[in-house]
Amino acid sequence: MRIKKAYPKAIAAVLILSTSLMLSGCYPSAPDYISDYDLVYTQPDNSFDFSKVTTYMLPDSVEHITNPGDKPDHTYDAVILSELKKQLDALGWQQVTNSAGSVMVLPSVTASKQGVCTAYCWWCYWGWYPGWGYYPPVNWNPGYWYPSDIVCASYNTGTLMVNMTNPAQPKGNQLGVVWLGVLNGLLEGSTSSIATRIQTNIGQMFKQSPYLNQ
Amino acid sequence: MKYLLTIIAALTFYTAVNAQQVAEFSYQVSFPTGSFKDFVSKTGWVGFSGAYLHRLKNPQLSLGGAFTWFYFQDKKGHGTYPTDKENAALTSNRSNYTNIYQLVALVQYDFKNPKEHMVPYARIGVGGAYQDQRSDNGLYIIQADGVQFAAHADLGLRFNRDENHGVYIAATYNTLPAAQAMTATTFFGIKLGISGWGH
Repeated sequence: MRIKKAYPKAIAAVLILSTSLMLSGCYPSAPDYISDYDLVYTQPDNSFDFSKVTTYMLPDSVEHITNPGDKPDHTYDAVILSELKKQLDALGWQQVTNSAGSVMVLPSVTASKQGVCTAYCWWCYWGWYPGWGYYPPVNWNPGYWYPSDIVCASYNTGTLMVNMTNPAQPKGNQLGVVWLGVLNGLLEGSTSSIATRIQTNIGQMFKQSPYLNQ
Repeated sequence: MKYLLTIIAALTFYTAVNAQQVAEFSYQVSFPTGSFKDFVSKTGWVGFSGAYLHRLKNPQLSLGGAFTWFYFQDKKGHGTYPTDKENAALTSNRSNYTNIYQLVALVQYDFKNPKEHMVPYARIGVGGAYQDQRSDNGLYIIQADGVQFAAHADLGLRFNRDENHGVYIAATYNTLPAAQAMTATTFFGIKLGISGWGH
């Protein structure tokens, strides 16, 4: 180094320190409240005409996707089902009790201490709805299909997936999903606060999907 | 891109081992523009750069290299945001941020004899950058990162305290075109720096 009469050592020290700092990068501080981690995602099949929907079928139970040996927690099933019914009724759709409805709304829940979306994201189950076998209108095997992308990571969370399917147009042995609603968040806090967050965020699914209300 | 980075590294090394070199350290405050402003609208208060320049036979002309780090963040807060899918929507507490590590070759022209007390100059930097754009949404991260072309142009004024010490201020414009899933990144900046050089 032939820098003379200047302050090369000072500059070199600053450069070394700043390079170390640079390479570690910066990140924003974490949110303060549990509800700050709530996430609601909705995606429709844009080729589906929701204006023709007049009836819906909602099962009387929530499907729980669990690891082998894990016991499902049904604490919030009633809240989920009642809030979904409230929102679907608010669309002006009539509830029916068989698969002859315009759409079938199938809620499923995953709760895990780690890795709810281990494969990639919410649509890890896209294409395979384990609970479907309960309502086979024809000779279908369980299954959905739909498009996906968005990278995600998964933590200690609970995820509610609301799959709205079209029973009139099966593709092979699969049911097409015409609308997907996903709620993801931390399963922390009191039972009542979690129930309130579930209600609020199911409402948000429908609020941010104005095309359902035609 | 690989060849470009190799040339930049070689140029930087060359200037580091030859006389007539200038070492610089600068701080920059940056103001996002264009589509980058949609991703991060807030002023970027983190921007640090280290550079070496080598004066050519014409002392008003210099070549060199620089390594720069920028960080931008924008806590957009709770809201409903569109996605790249038609009619899809995401409601979350969102924070967008990016770290940019930039390595460029520099060409500088001093409009006056570089030994004068006040020297206006123009500088162009061309090279590559690694950028890590992220969007935190609840517990999920949407990430787009990779290497992309990077360039900047500066118009500055250097104040030489004596033959070997100086400070400078410059207006700068940076651009990193869209690459892979990364949003095109452009921003203006005000740069403050110190420099020291030898004979």
